Amino acid sequence: MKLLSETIEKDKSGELALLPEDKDDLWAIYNLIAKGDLVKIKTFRNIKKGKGKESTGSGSGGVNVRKLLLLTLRVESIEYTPSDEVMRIKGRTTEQNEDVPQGSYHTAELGLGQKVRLEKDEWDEIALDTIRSACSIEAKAEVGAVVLEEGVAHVCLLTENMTVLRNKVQKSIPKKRRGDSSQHDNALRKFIETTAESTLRNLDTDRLKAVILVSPGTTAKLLYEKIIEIATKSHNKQLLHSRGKFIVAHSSTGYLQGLEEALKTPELQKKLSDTKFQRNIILFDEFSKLLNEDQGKAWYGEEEVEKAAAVPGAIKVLMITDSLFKNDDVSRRKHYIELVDKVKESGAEVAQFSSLHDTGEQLNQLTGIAVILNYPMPDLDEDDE
Amino acid sequence: MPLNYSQDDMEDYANENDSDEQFNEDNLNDEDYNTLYELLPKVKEQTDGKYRNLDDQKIKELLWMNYFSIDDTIEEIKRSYKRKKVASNFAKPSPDEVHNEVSQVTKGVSQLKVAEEKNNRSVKKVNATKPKTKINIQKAIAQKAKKPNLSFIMIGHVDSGKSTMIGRLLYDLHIVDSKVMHKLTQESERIGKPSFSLAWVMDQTPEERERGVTVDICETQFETDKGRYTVIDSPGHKDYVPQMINGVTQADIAVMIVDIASFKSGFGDNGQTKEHLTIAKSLGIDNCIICINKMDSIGWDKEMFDSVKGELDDFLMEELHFKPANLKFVPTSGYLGDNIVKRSQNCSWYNGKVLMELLEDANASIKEVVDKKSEFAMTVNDLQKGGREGELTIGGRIHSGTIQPGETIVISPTNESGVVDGITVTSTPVGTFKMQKKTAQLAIRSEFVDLKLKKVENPDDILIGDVATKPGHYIKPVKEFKCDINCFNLNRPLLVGTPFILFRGNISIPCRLKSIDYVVTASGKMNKKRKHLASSSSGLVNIEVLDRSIPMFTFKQDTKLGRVVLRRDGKTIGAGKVVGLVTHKTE
Repeated sequence: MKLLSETIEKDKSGELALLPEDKDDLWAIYNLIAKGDLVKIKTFRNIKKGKGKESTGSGSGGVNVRKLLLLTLRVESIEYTPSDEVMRIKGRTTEQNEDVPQGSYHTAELGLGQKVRLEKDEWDEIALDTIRSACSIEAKAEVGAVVLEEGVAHVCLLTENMTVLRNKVQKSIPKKRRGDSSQHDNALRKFIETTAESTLRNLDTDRLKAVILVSPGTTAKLLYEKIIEIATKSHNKQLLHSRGKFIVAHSSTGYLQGLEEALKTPELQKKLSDTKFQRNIILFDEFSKLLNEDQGKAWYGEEEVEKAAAVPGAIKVLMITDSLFKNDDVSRRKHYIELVDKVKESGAEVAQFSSLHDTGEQLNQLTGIAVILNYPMPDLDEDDE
Repeated sequence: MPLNYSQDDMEDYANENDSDEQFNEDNLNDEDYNTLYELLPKVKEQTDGKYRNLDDQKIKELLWMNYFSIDDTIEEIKRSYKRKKVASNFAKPSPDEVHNEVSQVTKGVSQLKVAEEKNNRSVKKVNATKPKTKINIQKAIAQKAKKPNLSFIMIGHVDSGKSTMIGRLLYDLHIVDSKVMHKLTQESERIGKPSFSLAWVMDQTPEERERGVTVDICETQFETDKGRYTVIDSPGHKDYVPQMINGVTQADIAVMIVDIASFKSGFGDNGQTKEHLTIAKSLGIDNCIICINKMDSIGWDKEMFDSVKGELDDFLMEELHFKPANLKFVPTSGYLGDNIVKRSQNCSWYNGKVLMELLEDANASIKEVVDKKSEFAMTVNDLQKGGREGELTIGGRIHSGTIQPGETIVISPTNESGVVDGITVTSTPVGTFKMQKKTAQLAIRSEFVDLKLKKVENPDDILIGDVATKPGHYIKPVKEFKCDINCFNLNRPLLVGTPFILFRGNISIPCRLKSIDYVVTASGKMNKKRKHLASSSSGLVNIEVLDRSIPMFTFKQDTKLGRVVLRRDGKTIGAGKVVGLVTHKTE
């Protein structure tokens, strides 16, 4: 993301001009915009010509003209589907305009490479952090991954904030039979071929930091061999050049959760050590382990976390999902920010999980907030029983 | 170039016309026409005035549909037509009948919903079709029941000798002839693995032979004088537990192979001995034959046999609650052929039965009678594309009911349909060395068959794990269900939101723990607030399917398909019974 301009007053109110460059940036902006913020954006609107009064949509009478306007909206709601690469911001205009009266509803679309100005009454630390990390290029390492088993393959892209499924290959493979396994062998070969082609079509190996091929047994190895075979046959020098980026790893399943399983293994940890999502996977795994031991060193739920935060030095890691900050209730957001600040000050690690990764989604299901403690505190949930 | 039509093609086209045929009096031949009018008054005599909407034309059609059998026709009239109210008291439908009607209506409604979910694709109405030829079903079933089909699966830790055991069994029963064996021996010697020759009878694929590891299940059938058998070889490697589970769901009993020389590593927490047994028991296998294998490598030491037997006994009875009478232990050597089919000369202290005798006992104890009325259901376990458009062969074990060529089936979850063109059963009679493909006029519950389908609209939409039924009994797929879960020994707790792989029948599908109604902790305390299940706890939970909707059954509906096994990160973490299905109006 590009930060084009920044004017923030002493009272923390102010305006930023942003230019999103990839899906992650849109996700960051989605998390930044709250109800009541002002958004200034160039947007198309259908204007009815020849009438003083405007009306939206394709109503009868008059001629509809699609016009590019610069509108300022007071945000009421926003929607974002990562696979679409487009965000819809709905709100009411705050300024009079030649074509649009003040206070009319409008839904603007924000896509990649489109400038947007965002004005907030208060820019808190979390919001500024989000901008900072979205603007740093080092944090942008993207990793490609193919998770597969015989008959099903998932080609996906992992960014800092999300897992995007690019393609799913599914093919029923006939069983081997005593005396004849040719149907099975042929179908398997074809499946690997299709998956290899899909991998190359959907993942830009030049740009990616690494491509992880994950499967039970040797299917991932077969895929790797097929990809190299295709590269050699087509004299694709670039692809052959980046063959070192391919990592064959092991999982127990070819479904998406196999990816998380593989990312937990020490070999992949070493190779992808500086990515945030992997750090989060490891933290969440650690948390799960402690929870299973049931020694009172891992807790989830707001009340429990707050009780732990009240004791300085008790918390080792605080895990929180971005969806808690993405709260229309400003006081709730403030509340969480204060909690995070307090925990940070006490010297603990704070890990923010993106709900577009599976670990973030899992944390969401567990109230969205959890802690790993430095020492056991066995009865944090006692009062409630 | 002249067009070459093979005899097969001609026959197929002839059949197609056949099953399409609608009733038309004018098309009947003289003989049928006469029979029809001979029977019509007789049927009318028994039904006249009692049923609504029943006219001569309908009766004629029904007679034709039922191959001019009066009894069958009347039976169908009773089923399909409402009695007129003017009739006497008992003419009213019994509560049961009313219930049936209601449930049929509900079924109809639920099907509509499914269709709506599919982007308003128009409801494809699938009509039942009648079998190509009329046979006496009761007699045919009785004929088959004389020689029941026993399905058994070889399970056990990797390299315990499962494939070799099957190779030995087939070789000693004279199902694989010495020529084939000789060839396999030569091939295995060529790559320096002569001890694998017997295993290669089942392990076919280049990958399996190269690595010396079974990757997928492989089933084969054979037949003795007394009974029919299906043997399923399963992979022992940790990575291929999913395939092994698939095999278990098609088996009646399990044959556990234990390598006595490396018993400890297989029996430990990272071995598959315990995991396989746990899975088998969780999926409803109550009988187990345990072959303590590779006895030759320890000199047929009785003491060692007894100590291993003791450890297994403890685990099987105390942790898995097997009944002692359902467990049989045999000392064997699969490679040398001791106590498989032939009695061992090296093991005088063992005077129990050999493996094949135990299998014969198990076969003889099959008592289940096939009920003519039970509904047909079969899970698709194998798929082979046919040569022509719309053709597809599905393989699997018939779960319940009967099927005949000519009948139509519908397949859940996609509501694809097809007409059964032919039924094939592949088997090798003992001593003949020849795999025989027999076509059948009828296939019944527990048989392994290949159904050749035609008129399938989208063969690519049918996947392994789908469930085939007859029209009107379509299994509505669901995305959520309630489950009674028992957790095993966990490294990580099962949290709300935790994804895992769910196994039901031969489906494996990613799921997520959606919510927990309550948890019963290992110490027996009930907790409704908890959002996680820890080791050895149990609970009532809601499970959400993360992939496409799948056909599901409750344990009450089906004691076999109503069971599930949960795995995560390559470990079996729990098992349970489905107690309820959750249907949503909209996705």
